[in-house]
Amino acid sequence: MFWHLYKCRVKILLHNKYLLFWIGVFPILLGTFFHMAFSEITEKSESLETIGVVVTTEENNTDAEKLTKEYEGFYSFISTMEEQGYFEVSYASYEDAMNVVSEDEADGALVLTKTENGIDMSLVFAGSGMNETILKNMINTYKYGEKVITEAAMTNPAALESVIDELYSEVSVNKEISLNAKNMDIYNQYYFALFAMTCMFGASIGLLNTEHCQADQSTVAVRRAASPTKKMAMVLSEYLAAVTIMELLFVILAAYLVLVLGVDLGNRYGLIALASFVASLLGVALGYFFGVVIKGKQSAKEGIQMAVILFLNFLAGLMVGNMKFIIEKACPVFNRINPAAIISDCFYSICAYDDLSMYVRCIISMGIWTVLLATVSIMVLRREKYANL
Amino acid sequence: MSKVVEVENLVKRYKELVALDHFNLEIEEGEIFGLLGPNGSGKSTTISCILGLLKYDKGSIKVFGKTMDASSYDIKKDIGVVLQNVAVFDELTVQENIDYFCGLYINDKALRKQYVEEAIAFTGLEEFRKFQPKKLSGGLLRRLNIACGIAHKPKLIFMDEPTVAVDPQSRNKILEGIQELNKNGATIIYTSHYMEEVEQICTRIAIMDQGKNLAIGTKEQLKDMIKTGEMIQAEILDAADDLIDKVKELPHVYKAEYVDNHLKVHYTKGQRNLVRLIDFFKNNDVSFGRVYSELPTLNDVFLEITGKELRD
Ligand SMILES: Nc1ncnc2c1ncn2[C@@H]1O[C@H](COP(=O)(O)OP(=O)(O)OP(=O)(O)O)[C@@H](O)[C@H]1O
Ligand SMILES: [Mg+2]
Repeated sequence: MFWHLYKCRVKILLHNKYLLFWIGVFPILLGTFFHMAFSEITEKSESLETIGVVVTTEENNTDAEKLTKEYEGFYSFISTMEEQGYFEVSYASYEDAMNVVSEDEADGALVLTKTENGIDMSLVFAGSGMNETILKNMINTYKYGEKVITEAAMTNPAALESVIDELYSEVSVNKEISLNAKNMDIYNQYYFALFAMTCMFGASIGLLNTEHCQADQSTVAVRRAASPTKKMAMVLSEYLAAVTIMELLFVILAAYLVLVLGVDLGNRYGLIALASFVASLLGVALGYFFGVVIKGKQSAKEGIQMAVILFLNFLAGLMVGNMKFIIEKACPVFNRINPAAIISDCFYSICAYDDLSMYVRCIISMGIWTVLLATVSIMVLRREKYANL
Repeated sequence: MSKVVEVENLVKRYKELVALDHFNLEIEEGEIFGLLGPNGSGKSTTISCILGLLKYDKGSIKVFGKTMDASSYDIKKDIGVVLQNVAVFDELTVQENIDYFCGLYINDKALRKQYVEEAIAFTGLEEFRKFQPKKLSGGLLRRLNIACGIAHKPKLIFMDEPTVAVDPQSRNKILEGIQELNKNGATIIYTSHYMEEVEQICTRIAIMDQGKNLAIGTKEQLKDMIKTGEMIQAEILDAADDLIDKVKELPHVYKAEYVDNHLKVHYTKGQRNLVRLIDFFKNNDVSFGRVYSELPTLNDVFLEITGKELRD
């Protein structure tokens, strides 16, 4: 019985063109659109020239090049960047350096200052273009790394080497993000937001399932209610079918992005799969919840649900990029409870952080939401007699 | 014979509107029971209550001798429903729909396959098994609706106006089908506001209006309840007033009128009215054309009981 209900529901959902469009086709179109938009951006940035850096110092009578070579870590960083063709490094006196920068012969001047335990550095720019931004990021990364290196050198000299290795690998990841035009990592957050949105749209399936489950909502529900099939079996099998469809569409979307568009989603497929599964559970449960708490016609329910979901998506920054950060400042709690924000955080954390704490927190939050929504829905759906049909 | 359905003093309100007002009904095994009433009289409401889908305010309902409730799964497994509104999935084909609903009752795959085939043959949908409901004509859709309700071979079948919006040919096929189901052992409860249908197939009939059961019996019994008997019409070119007065004197006549060259004579019950009228014409040298007798219809019964026409 359970499998009969499950199989038929999968079939029914697969034949529902409306659902397939919004959950299956629409995200693919959106993904394609992203891809095209990003390719254009990266084509532009492909014309990026090597960043010109002029290294100098304010210390009197000090040769900048000599100073640089005194600090092994910094020197090897600079050399590596030059070897890889990202930087074009020259050395000059302070005055000359400022002239070079103001005449735009170099993108920035790196001014070194001796301090008690090393060197400090600051950047001087003339403009504020892409090159300047990248340069600033690189130097910041190095600065952060240098502090760690110094600390490590003082507390645990033996570990110094591995710390340096790690930092360099971080710098090189960063290099790729910023500089390698072929690499799309920087845009991954958009694709992950797309995943989040798709999972939220799973609510439409949940809502449809409730329509077919409540005798006061549809005639097929009346027929089903008149049969000896237990409500619980119907609800559970069809919930499972809904999640199956979600996973199927999700796999198609991901496969399309990776295999057809060539998007590099990283290699954390396991995490993506788990996130999509839990998020689908939540998305579908959300639809069930709307289906049982909103009173009225199905079309009205669809309208209200869509409005609420789009609003939550909007607040979660899935439509306007920095919305989530505005809320994070004004009322961070809301981002912790808005299901759309949780789902998008979950996906975002996969591409943004090595550390899994945010990911785990999101998975747990989604689980709690799912249990809450599903419990309410099942309690209402189990009711078997209606005041109106 | 055992009672299949017993409804006692059923009261159902939709907010202020009283849809069923102390409604009583008993249905025996093997009947095709007709529930006849105009739109809004409470036929569908009655069925939904008996099926245990609708909350009601008062009364008791038993099916197969057991109290019927939403969770009476052992009763539900022997019931089939054909709802007034077509209830099928647009996403599934004809065959898949029948299989789906049959599967809510029959677990055994092989048996189900056989039942689905039989239902398809029974409703004549063989050519359309791969069609989606949207592609079916109104009549075919109704047949699919029926097939979905009866494929599992229920002992008790509710049919709520299954022939609405069906052309006469399909309608006759459906009515024949219902009689066949009955012959195969199913008890059938059939609602309609077409008295011809009900007269044609039902073994017993209840006439309901405004949530009340006004009369119940075989069609003959119902017709016996009212004082009107047959009505005889005769084509007469020219009838003098005194002739009409003389007709009124004849036995059992309670009304005679002359309209559009037709003499219409209404009788209370009585035998040999036609012969007597023709003799009267001969004896009085009245030349007449066609003469025909009409027996009372359920509509007359309804008219007399409620004071209004059954048809709107
Ligand atoms: N869900 C509802 N809410 C309010 N009133 C209702 C509802 N369903 C039916 N009614 C009212 O209850 C009465 C009985 O309706 P019901 O559908 O049982 O009649 P019916 O005999 O089946 O009519 P029809 O021949 O049109 O199908 C009608 O007056 C109808 O308007
Ligand atoms: Mg009705």
